[in-house]
Order: sequence, then structure tokens, then C-alpha cells
Amino acid sequence: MEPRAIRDRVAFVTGAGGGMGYRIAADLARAGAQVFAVDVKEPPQPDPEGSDRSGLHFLQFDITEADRVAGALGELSAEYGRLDYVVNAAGVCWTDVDGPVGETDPAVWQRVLDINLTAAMQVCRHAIPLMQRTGGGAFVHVASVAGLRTSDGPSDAYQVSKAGLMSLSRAIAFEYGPEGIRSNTICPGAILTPMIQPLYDEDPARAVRMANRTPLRRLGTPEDVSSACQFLLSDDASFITGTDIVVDGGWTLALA
Amino acid sequence: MTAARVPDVPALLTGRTALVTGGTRGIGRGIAEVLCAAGARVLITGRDAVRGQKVAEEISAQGSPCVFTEADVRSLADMESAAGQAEERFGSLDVLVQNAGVYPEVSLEQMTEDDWDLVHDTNLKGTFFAFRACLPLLKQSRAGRVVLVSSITGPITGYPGLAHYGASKAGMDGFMRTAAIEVAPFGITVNAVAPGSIRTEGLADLGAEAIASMEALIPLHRLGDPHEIGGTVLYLASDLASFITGQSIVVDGGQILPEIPG
Repeated sequence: MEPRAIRDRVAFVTGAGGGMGYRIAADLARAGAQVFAVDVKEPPQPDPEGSDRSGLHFLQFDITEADRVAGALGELSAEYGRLDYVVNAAGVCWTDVDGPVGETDPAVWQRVLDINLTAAMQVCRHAIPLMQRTGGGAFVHVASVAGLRTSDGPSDAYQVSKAGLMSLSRAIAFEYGPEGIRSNTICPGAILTPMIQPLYDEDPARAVRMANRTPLRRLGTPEDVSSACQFLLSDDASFITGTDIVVDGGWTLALA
Repeated sequence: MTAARVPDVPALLTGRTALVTGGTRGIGRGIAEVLCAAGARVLITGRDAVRGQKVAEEISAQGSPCVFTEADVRSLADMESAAGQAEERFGSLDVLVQNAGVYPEVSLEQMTEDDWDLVHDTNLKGTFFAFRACLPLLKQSRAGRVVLVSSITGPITGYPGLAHYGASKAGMDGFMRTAAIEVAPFGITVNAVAPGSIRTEGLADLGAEAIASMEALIPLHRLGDPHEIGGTVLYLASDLASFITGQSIVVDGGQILPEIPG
């Protein structure tokens, strides 16, 4: 049932210890890819359903350390000789300290930009030569509807980092398209993941409110984002590059 | 005939049924072929019955059944009859692909009211008619899906001679956003695909040189294939896209990216 051509491809997924990143990495592995799953956190516990993790290779390091990124991609290349897919899913949204721009500590701003945007750029910088060597590849960057509009909260550093990620994606799509490299983003809306779980713990009614505010009357799941990611990576999306797919249940359509 | 062999696509639509307007040629045919390859039973509509029957037979020969019904999207009665045919043949309708459209080039200086009306009656009013006619069946589906074939021309870019066409395509996107909200309570999603330059029968007539200059403007350095529009429609029509509604997905090889083309 998996989208075409994912079997036997080699993928590099950041943020793979988180809700969306883990789902994306695990689903790519289940579809037959060899997946290098990076996170600063400990590898997550196996799925409750005990799914096969044989294609998943966990690497634990901080992606803001550019030489660790270069080293990991170098090792991957030496072992497999190719890199087909890169998913930049690593990201933080620090709702407690990332607020309106006038009130946010510039050090917080810088750190959020380092993790959400600059680290993704470093991953791309080191991945592009590997893709060029084998005649192409595909990037998917997990941005956010916050990058298209303004974020609920607000969390201005997060919002700007996501807008930057979308722009980075378009730059890569334009510049490396002639070499068969595609680059797209997914802009999730309200998705239930561990990253934003504290907001729901604080205010349990939030989940119901958010679902009611969404035309399709539910919150999104990591599976919704992972499906979009597999589509964009697959050959079914072979003529799609430089675009952003909003996965939000209609959230950004309805102003009331 | 579309340029390439029907791709080996995942069987995401086994047991589903679809209606593709304007499904006898070009992008519409490419979409119908991909949906059939993914396991759907597909009804295609068009205005040329001889051609339509032949194309439906050719698509059916490759796998899942495809049937043709003569219908003009400019007529609500025709669209209601086509939806009725889908119900009669398949017993259900899960997916509507509103693809039928016309794109006659004429400058604004030369454009007549008839030119304007032909394009708007087909592309925009036709979208409303196809949607309206299929809605009762889509509401009964477990996973109703509407996919409109829009364009980059109008919603994003302009093209000399296509003011009426661009306005109709931007209109389709506007229709989509409100329709998506209205039918969301029934679990129906409404999305669009915005193709860039796709290699269809009409394009081939332009000649190799014109096509090469078009390709030079596209970051992926090639035209798209109708099956690549089909791949996106398939994704949007499947359960994989159940949380996507009111969106238009650009499928253009990156053509809209540069500030200054070329």
C-alpha cells in the first residue's frame, strides 16, 4: 500500500524522537527505506504495536552542532553510497519563553532560530552534494501554518523560523531543481504531539475547543503529517517542488 | 493518448468510485488512468461520445473498470444525469474530479461577451454544477472527496490572452474554500490541484522548439505528465489526505518560483 519507490531508498530524518518526526521515520522504515533517525533526545520506546524497526537507525546528537550533522551524513554516505530523502522535522516551540517579539529574550529568539532554521540549512548544505552525486533526491521540511499566518500564543521566534524554513525550501527547489532535487514543506495545523502536549495538560478543554474550531472537527495526528510527507517524497509527487502543503483540517480557511 | 505508460501506483482506492469530468483527453484522461490503476471504478464524462467510449474501453483494458457518459458540465441536468449514471453503474460515488475546462486564447481587446461566457460557463459554473449534482451521493460516502483541477494561471500568475480563463480558475479556488467549510461536517474534503505546464495533446502541436523554451523556464527542466497530476489527485482522494481540505496543491516543477523567469 505504500507510495511508490520508497523501498530501498535511504532517508535522513531530524526530530525523529518527537511525535511527527518519529512517525515519519517509522513509516518510511516500514515502507522499506533505510532511515537515519536523528534526535537530541533518547530514541523513543518501541511502538505499542511492536512494529518492525529494522530499517530505523537512531542517532542521538544536537543538530545545531554542524560538524555532527556533517559527520553523520558522511557516515551514511560511506555506508550506503546514496541519500534519497531528507526530512527536516526537528523543531521547538517554547511557549513559556517565546512570546511577543517585544518581550522575548533575544537569546531565546536566537536559539529557536538556530534549532528550527539554521540547523535545517546545515542539514541541506551537507545533504545536497550527496543527492547531486546520485542524480537527485527530495527534501520535506516540516513548517507550520504559523509560518503562513500568525501563531496562536503568540510564539514569534517559532513563527518566523517556520516562515524562514518555507523560504529556504523554495530556494533549494529553485536552485537545485535542474539537478533533480525537489524540496517542499508541510504546514501542519493543530496536531496532537508531545511538543505541544503541555498546552493541553494546562488546559484540557483546549483539545475540544481546537477540534470544534477546525472545519473537519478533529485535531490532526502525526499520521496525517507522515502521509503527506510520504506523498511528497514519493514518485507520485515527481513534478511537485517549491510548494507548501497545508495539513490543517481547514483551520486556516475559516476565520470564525 | 497520454505520453507515458500508466505508472505503478499504490492501490489506495480499492472499492471506491470516482467521476472525472472531461476525462477523455489530456489531464482528465491522465487522472482517470491513475485512479483506475489505484483500484477505483471511474466514470468519465465528455462531449464526444465516440471518443469517450473508445477511451473508456482503453482505460478499462488496463485494469479497473472505466465507463463513459456523455455530459456537458455547462448543463446541470447533464451533470445530474452523470451522477445518476455513477449511482446506477457503481451504487455509490466517493470522488468527484472536476477537470473539464476550456482555454481559448484571446486578448482583452478582442474578447467578446461570448468568449467570456464560454470560459466561465464551462470552468466556473461547470464546477458548481458538477459539485451540486454529486453532493447528495458524496454525502453518503464514508470518505467523500472533491478535487478541482485549477491552474497556476489565475490563482498565482497571469498569461496574455487568458484573462477570462485566469479569472475562472481563481474563481474555482474561491469556490473551493467556502465549499470545503460547508461540506466538512459531512466528512467531505474539497481541494484543488494547480498544474503548471503539462504535456497534453494540445501542447504537442506547438512544436519541439516552443516546448524546449517552455522547459527552460521550469526548474525541473521538463514539462509535467498528466499522470503526475493524477498522482496528486490520487493522494487527495485517498484516506492519506483525510485532514487536508480547502487547499490547492501546485504541481508545476517549480515554475512559479523565480521572481524573473528565464
